[in-house]
Amino acid sequence: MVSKTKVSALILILSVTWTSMCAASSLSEIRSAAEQISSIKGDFIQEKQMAILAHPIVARGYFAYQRPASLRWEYRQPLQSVLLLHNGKSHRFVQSDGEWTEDKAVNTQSMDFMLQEIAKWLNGRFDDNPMFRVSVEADNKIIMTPKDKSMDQFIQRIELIMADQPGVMKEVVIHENADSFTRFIFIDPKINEPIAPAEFQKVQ
Amino acid sequence: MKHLFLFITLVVSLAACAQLPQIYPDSASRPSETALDCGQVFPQGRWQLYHIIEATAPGGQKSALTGVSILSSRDRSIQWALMTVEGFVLVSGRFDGKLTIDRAISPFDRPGFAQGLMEDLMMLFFEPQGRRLMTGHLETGDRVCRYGSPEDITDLIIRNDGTWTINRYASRRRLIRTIVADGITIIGNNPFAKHLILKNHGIIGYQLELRLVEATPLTN
Repeated sequence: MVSKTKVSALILILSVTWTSMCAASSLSEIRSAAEQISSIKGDFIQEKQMAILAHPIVARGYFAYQRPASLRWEYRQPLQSVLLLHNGKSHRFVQSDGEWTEDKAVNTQSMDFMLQEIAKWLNGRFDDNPMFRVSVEADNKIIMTPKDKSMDQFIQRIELIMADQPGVMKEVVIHENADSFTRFIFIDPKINEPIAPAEFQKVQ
Repeated sequence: MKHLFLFITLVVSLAACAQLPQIYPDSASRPSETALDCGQVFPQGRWQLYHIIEATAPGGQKSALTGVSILSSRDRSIQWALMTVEGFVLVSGRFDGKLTIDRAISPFDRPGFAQGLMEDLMMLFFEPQGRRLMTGHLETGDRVCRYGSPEDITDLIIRNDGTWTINRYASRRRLIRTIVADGITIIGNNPFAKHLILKNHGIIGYQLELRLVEATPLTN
């Protein structure tokens, strides 16, 4: 269960973290741009495509991030699920029959591990992460590839596609293998607007 | 303590060995109708199904997952992927007379897991296999088809509102799996259950609760 939760946490956190990066041509520029962002929130669309699917399956939700390491990642359709990261602790809740219950299958140790990672990434320290090799491409795209072959079975490549607007990430595409990927599309994210602390502490 | 455990196990096992429900024969014109209905509660043709799944593990721990299934009634083949809410594929595979596992992340790679998952999916989306032993109705009036194979006996029970239940019994008439389907909706002239609950009974039993998000017909 550790591997499952570690990877799902990674996917969640990467998706939000990278929204704070700006169009830039080097990692140092990304780092300095990331330092200007204290909070970010908005809606997202998640599209899953696999070779077996005739058309992608779609989920929609809302996310909010506040420095140094508070995160709300909320699915609203087709199911209601909320991941909260705050004060070094993580919790996931799922709504079932109108009631919110905590998903205990989430391994808290691996979530804590990922929380430490997010702090590095939000400072633009992508090259500090020992798990990935990072390269910046000319077309507003950053490519992350796992260094460790064992990670390769979970994620082959991550593409971060930046919007023209500084500080805004347009898409994140996580390639699991040659014919399976998940695309996160961020819609009109709001940067450096106040976010109520309760958003990171309470499911509702 | 060891003897107490064995005694409890024995009592539970004996209690589980029940008789099969009595099936009453239909009137002269009814058997063919019931038999027809039993084949028609499952979707015909090729479909892509997308479900939200609440899995309850032995011990009661619950997890939210999503699942996609590509099924074909013509050749009883199915492809599937079980994913996290975030879209990460935990286990995927296909069955076209032979089980193939395309991907399995720990702990979903343990022996027997994919086989069990495939059996659950076949039970959820296809008419039970095996010889149809009898059709008729239960004491409640619900229509029933009973199927038999060397390994098990399966009752498919259909209520007047279109909802249905499957009870599968192993040797000694021990109930091993149950499916309850409700919220029947018609899509492209095919019935789909919006809500399915599969229970695997036993000491290490589990439950899968599926909510249909979308059913898409496939043309080829």
